[in-house]
This record gives sequence, C-alpha cells and structure tokens, in this order.
Amino acid sequence: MDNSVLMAIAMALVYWLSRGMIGGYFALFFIGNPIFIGIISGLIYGDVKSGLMIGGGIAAVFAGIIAPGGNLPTDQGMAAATMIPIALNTGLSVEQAIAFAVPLGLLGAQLLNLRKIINVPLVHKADEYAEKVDTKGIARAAIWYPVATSFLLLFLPVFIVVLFGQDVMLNLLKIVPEWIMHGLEVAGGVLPAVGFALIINSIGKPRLIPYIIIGFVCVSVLGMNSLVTGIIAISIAFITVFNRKQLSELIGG
Amino acid sequence: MEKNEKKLTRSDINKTMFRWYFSTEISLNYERMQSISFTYALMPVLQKLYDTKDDLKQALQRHLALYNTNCTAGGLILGTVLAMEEEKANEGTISDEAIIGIKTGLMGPVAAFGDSFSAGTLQTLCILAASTLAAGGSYVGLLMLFLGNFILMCELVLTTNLTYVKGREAIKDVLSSRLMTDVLEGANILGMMMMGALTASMVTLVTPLAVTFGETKMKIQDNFDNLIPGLFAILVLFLFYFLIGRKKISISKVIFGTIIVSIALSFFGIV
Repeated sequence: MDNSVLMAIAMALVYWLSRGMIGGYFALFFIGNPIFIGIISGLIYGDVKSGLMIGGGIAAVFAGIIAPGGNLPTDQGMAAATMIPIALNTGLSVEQAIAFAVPLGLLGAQLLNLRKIINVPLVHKADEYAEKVDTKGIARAAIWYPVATSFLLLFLPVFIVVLFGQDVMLNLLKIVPEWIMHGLEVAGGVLPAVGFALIINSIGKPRLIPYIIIGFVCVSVLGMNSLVTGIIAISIAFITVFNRKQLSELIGG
Repeated sequence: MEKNEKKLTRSDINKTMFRWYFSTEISLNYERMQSISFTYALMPVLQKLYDTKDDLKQALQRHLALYNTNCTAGGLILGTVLAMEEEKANEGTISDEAIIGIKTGLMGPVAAFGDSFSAGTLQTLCILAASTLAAGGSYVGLLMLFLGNFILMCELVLTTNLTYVKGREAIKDVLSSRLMTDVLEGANILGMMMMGALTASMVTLVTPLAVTFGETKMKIQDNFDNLIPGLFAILVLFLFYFLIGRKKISISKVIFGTIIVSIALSFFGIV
C-alpha cells in the first residue's frame, strides 16, 4: 500500500479511537496525545524522532487543556493527527506546525460537540430497551451504535485532510502572510490559559483566588519549578485545613 | 425465614470498574451525558442482584437518569452505588430516590475534584514533563505520558474499592463529617495554586513594542519584566476566568475570539 494512504488510515484510526473515547481516559489522554500520535506517524513516515519532537512541541501547547464537564475547549488530537504527518512530509518547522495546529484544534472541538448531538437519540433507544428489560440492547446503545456513528464522523475528515492536505499546506505556506502565522503562534501561547480558567471556574470558589497568585509568583517571580511549587502547595493546603479545623473546634463549631 | 443473601464478589467489582472505564464517554451526549454508560457498567451486577423482571427494569430506569462526572474520581460514586444496590437487593430498605440522590448530589463535587486535582494537576504535571522530554527528542516522554494516565487508573480502582467497602453508612458519615469538606478544601487549594504555577510556566504573552527616547530605545516588555515577570500571562488568565465564569461566554467563542485578537494584535505589531 502507498505510504500516504497508510498514513491517512492510521491517523484517522487513531483519531476515531481517541475522540470516540473508545477505551475511556486511556484513549482520550494517551492515544489522543500528540506525543503518541507523533510516534505513530513518525514510524510510518520513517523518521520516528522527528515525529516525536513535533508531537512534543504540539503537546506542550495543549498540555493544560483537559475537558471539564466533557467540554474539550480545543482538540489536540485533531491538531496532531492532521498536522504532524503534513509537517513531516512538507518539512515544516515545529513552530510552523504549532501555528497551524491551533485552528485545526478548534475545528476538531466543533466536531466533538457534533458527536454529543448525534449521540442524543441513543438515550431514547436506551429508554425503550430498559422498558423491555433488553440488556443486550442497552449494551448496543452504550457501545456499538455510537462506535459506528463516530466512525463516520471522526474517521473520514482526518483521512481526507491527511491524504490531500499536503499540497494545500504547501500552497498555504506561500500565501499566508507572516503576521497571520505569528498571530497563530501567539494564540497558541495564550490558549493553555483557557483550560486553566475552566478548571478554576469548575472549582467554583472565588475566595481561593489568592492561592492562584501565590502559585504564579512562586514560578514566575521566584523561579521555582512546578514540582517544588506543588510541594509548597500541598504544605499550604495542610496548614490551611488544619488551622480551620482547630479554629472551628475552639469556637465549638 | 432465612433469606438468601446476594453478595457481590471481587470479580463483580472489577468487571463494573472496567466496563465503566472503557465506556464512560463513548455514548456521551448533551441530553443525559454519561447515563447510558453508567447503566451499562452496572448491568451485570444489577442482573445478579435482582431476580424479577420488574425489579431489574426499575433498576435500569433509575440509572438512565442524567449523570455526568469525572470518570476516574467517579469511583467514589461507583463504589457507593454498588454498596447501595447490594443493600437494596438484600434488605429492600433503600429507596430509588436515595440512590439517584447520592448520584446527582455527588457528581458535581466529584467532577470538580477530579478535573482540578487528579486530571487537572497530577496528570497535567506528567504531561508537561512528557512534552518537554518529547520535544527534546527523548522517548522517556512516552513513559511520563503513560504515568499520568496510570495515576488516573489507580484513582478509579482505589476510590471504587474504598467507597464500596466502607459502604453507604460510611459514605454518609464521611459526607456529613468535616473530613470530606476538609479533603475537598485542601485539594481545591492545591488545584488553585497549581493553576497559577502552570500559568506562569506555560502561558506566554510578550510585546515587542519599544519606545525611543532620543538615542535610547526602551523595550516596554523589559519594564514589565522588572515589575512582575509574566504579568500578561496572569492577566490573560483572569480575563478568561472573567469571560467564562462571570460573563458566561461559551468556550468556543472565547477561543475563537482569542485567535482573532491575536492575529489582529500581530498585524499591528503589538504582540
């Protein structure tokens, strides 16, 4: 089989597995991570190390982005599955790959919202099966139907983009002006903050905001690494909780 | 009259956990989120516990109610529900409402705990290390990536077993006691601090703007760096928090807007 067809099939399969969530958080966070996708595409292309390094670069931009409440704000899986093979084939730099990865991730997130709409009828199917106590039917609604529909939704777009995207990308590189590329890189630098803001919002305790500032100052001003800051954070958490406890015991709470 | 007590075995618990982990979000949808997966995960246990068709039907229907939480921290609820279903089948003292109430009451706090602490902090640190290693060309990155994932798997196994063994009474004690609020408070403090730390290490926004005073050229960014390094990064974080949390602007609008604004600012040479 032609190498480019094999690549398109492999990337589309990886994307279908990871964003169809076939295999839970392992699929979502491991198979769908740009590092894993980079290694797979590197293997097929014949240059594993380049794949790994581009994957690592894209993964760093998206590292803070998780899916609070199942809402993935931007989809690194789509970005990696389409951009890494194209970058390998056209010899893009890691920075250029990241710039194009940003809008692709955004498109991927829209696709995932669509998936959750397409899955709605499954609920009514499941209700019917429950009424008839048809446990096999519920298993089909939980696994087989959504796996099949997400194949169409997730496999095809990636397959097409990877197969035909290379020429488009080479043309784009010629016409897209430098300031747009730079703007996308800047957006890539800012986007992890959206993920963090979402997490802060889901914690939902504005009175804890000063702790954000302490954490920020530790790394940015004092130059500590994240691990050391984590140790300090755990200590502060213990101190605060025990103090609160003692206080409430004192006042007989 | 001796009643034949139905006890869940080790393999029942394992099977439920595996089915839940594997299928959590395959059928994810806007109407009832993870409800089908939760029902699917519990099905073998429910079939074992309830002999009559009516009881089984009732059980399936109560679990098809809206449910949405963090998959692996969700072990806290999974274990509790297993214990409750077992008790209901044997004693018959637990109402449908009690089981649904536990699920809907806990899913929010548990999701916030998982999203901010285990997935948001522990895993993010592993992924951060993994991507730095991978970008430098080291295969150890893949190992770190797996480690982040493995922590979450362990979380599911531990929380499910803990809450199942402790049983319903224990989880009620835990919840009504100050222990749970203390643990959540501690995890939240840790989560908030790490969000600040990760913002500092991962969010970059600098301006190349410079002002010229006669002979000397002064870079604006240098002045800000002397004041508070990375000031723009933390301001951007609070701006996003304000837009998402207070103004309730949808996430895709925020991201799309960010890209437009970034390109516009780039055009004018401000960033």
